[in-house]
Amino acid sequence: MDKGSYKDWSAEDGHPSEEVLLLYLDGELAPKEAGQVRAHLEACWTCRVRAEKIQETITAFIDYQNDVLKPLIEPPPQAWLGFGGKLDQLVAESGSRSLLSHMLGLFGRFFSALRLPASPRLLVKAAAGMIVIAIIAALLIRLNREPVVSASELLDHATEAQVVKIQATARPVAYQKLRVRHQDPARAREDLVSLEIWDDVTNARVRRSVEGVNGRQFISASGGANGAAVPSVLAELEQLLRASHMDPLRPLSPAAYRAWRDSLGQKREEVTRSHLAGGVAALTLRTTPLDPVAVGQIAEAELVVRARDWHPIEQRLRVRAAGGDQVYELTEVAFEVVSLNTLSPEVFAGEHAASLPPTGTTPSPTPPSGHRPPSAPARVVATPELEVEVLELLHRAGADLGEQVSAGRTPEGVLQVTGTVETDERKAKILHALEPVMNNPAVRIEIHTVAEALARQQARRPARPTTEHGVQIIGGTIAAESELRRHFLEKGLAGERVDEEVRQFSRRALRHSERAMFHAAAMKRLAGRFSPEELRALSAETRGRWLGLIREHARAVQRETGALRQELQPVFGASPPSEGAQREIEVADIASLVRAVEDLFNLSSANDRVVRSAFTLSTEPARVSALMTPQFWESLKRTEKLASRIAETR
Amino acid sequence: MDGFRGGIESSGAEAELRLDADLLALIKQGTVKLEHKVTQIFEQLRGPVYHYLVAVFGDAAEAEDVAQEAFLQLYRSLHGGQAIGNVRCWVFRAAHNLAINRRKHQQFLAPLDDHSWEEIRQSLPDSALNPEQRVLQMERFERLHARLGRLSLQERQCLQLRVEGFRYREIAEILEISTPTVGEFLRRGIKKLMEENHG
Repeated sequence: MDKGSYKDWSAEDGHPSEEVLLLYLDGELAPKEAGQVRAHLEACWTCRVRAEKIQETITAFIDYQNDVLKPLIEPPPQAWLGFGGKLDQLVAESGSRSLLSHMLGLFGRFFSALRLPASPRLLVKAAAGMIVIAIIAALLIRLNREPVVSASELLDHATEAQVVKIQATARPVAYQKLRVRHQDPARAREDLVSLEIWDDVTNARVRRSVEGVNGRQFISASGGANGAAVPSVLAELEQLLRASHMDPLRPLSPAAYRAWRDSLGQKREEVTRSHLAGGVAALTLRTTPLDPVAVGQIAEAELVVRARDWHPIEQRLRVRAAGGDQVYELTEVAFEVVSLNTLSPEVFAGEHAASLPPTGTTPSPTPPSGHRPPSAPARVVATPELEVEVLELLHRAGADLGEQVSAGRTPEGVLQVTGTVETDERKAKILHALEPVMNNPAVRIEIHTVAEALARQQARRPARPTTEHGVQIIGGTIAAESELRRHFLEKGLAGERVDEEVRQFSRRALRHSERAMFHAAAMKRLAGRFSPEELRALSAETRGRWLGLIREHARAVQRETGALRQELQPVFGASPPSEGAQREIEVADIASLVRAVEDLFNLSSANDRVVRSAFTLSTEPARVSALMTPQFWESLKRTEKLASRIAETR
Repeated sequence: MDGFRGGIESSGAEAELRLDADLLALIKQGTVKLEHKVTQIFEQLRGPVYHYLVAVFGDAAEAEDVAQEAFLQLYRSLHGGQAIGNVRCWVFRAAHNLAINRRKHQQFLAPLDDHSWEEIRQSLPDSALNPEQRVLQMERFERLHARLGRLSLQERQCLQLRVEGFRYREIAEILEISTPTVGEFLRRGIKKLMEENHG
């Protein structure tokens, strides 16, 4: 270890020199010497004060960095534009020359780096050779297959890229400058607005401004002191976005596009390569709903992302209108993630943050202990009514399914909502949904993103180098592959289309099955939340709300299981199972409801297991007929029936 | 007694920045795209690299240019098959070397006038200090600012890199000097910044 060997530090009249003190403070001494210095500091006031002076100077220097130097340093004059083009050019120049030889070279280096005894090395080299061949084969096949990603993958990448940007900044604020163009053929008009958006991710607030005659003008939906009124073009766009399940305050974002696209029934999607000005490579996702589109709805949308980093830069929305389709075109002019610390205070002046201290990646001396001042005055216990209300709020935010968010009681009776979610947007959405109970003393909320949880872990322990492991699929198929292929070939499809359909089919089946199980699990959690006595003690209204939640989930289970059955039957199904004598399911009272919920969960889990075996990769092919037995179809039907019965309970 | 371990808020995503043979193999297979990874790293590190360059060498436009070039070099090296363990260190070193080669001798810290100090005082985030304490702090800053101007280039470099959270060994790698020399520069730098009392 390259730590200094300062064995004779005590030579200077018994006291450590300045040099040694600094090394000690910076953790650069070897353990033994560090121990000696520590012992000396415990005993010697003079030296302790000297050390404190060094520390104090460091503290002042750091404060100076943050308060003076950082604000003084102007942002990069070109705002980092141009890097993208340069990198793209470099990529093009470097090309994929001898990609395979690189790989072979790498593997060669890899294995020769392992110091193995002679004969195993031969074996390893042989194995390496075979793996290399397999990978080359897979690679070649891949290179010949699809060059372009699917819509979902594009959106996944875009969302992930955004998270990475945000998590790399302390107290992140996503700044976006957009040009919004609106074309209305009916009135032969074209409007143009320059819009700026500041998205304070941690505090779940957004600020917008438009470019007016007098320069930047902040706008606000509520108007008045918060800002000028929203111009009509934007107001109409907001309305459109809201009606299309998109977030009106974050119009050009992967999340908004995804939300709209997921809300569609049948749709056609296409991803193509394109180029923007300056030679920047881009990918365009075009989504066209196939169901009839009413006036005021989006007839077609396009999202353009930079190929290099998946960042969305353009979006076009074609809206059905009486006198001819209108078009909204949003183009990103600038984007940056800045820290709230360095943001000009005028942006969020007048708007106060939600009453939450920021939970960014700032290392803090005490671990963040939830969003309440640590000293709560009186002991407050959460009532069951409050609990049901929180459950409803979580349900409306869609946070009660499969995500790691849960609501439980602490020993003191406080209702604690904890969870870890994937993205900052999700976190903001959940916190927003919980607003009505945010200030309730009997409720404690701790929602973190995965990134924050990881950062806290690393802050507590020294970071260890972690290796990224990718999932490498060399072989194996899904069990249902041959049947599915036959099915689609019979329908007259060929080649790549067949592969694509097989993939989509599997994805749909897995998704329906999973969602059914998640809803069933949510029901089970709800049913088990209160004891029979507690349930009886609930007011009729509260009990009604609790039941309402269960019913909604039951309907979802019915819906998803039905959809699953309808997907699978044409391809795999035998004749529908005979309507044998079935025990009529009675759900008359609370006790039998709880039992029914339990049954439903078991059924859904069993169904899901079968679906999973059929549609996920494994190295041993299983016969689908062995999986989708008559009992399986029977089970699906029973699941639907039971779910519908529960959904009708009063 | 914490040394520099507090420091400027830095990103917690350091696990991302290990480009070892495993990840390189994935990149070669096409599972991970190299330019995507480099862009990710660029967006994560460009801020700190730029800050370091301006704080030490002074010219903002140069700093931006040099920073970009450093990341382009990163791409070239990775594409050529080099495995890089400590990416942060590598990038800072590349940037540093580029800057040294291009460096225009500049005295970065011009003394600030009263107006600038007033602006700074006004723009300070809300802190726990009362007005009196604030005044004292501002005076402290003015003294620091003046003293920083008297640091040598190497002392300045070492301090800024230490602020960035690099260990002595890493700073030695970046500046291509020995580890004890790093310690020496830091000690001298801190000494020059220290308030003279009756100590």
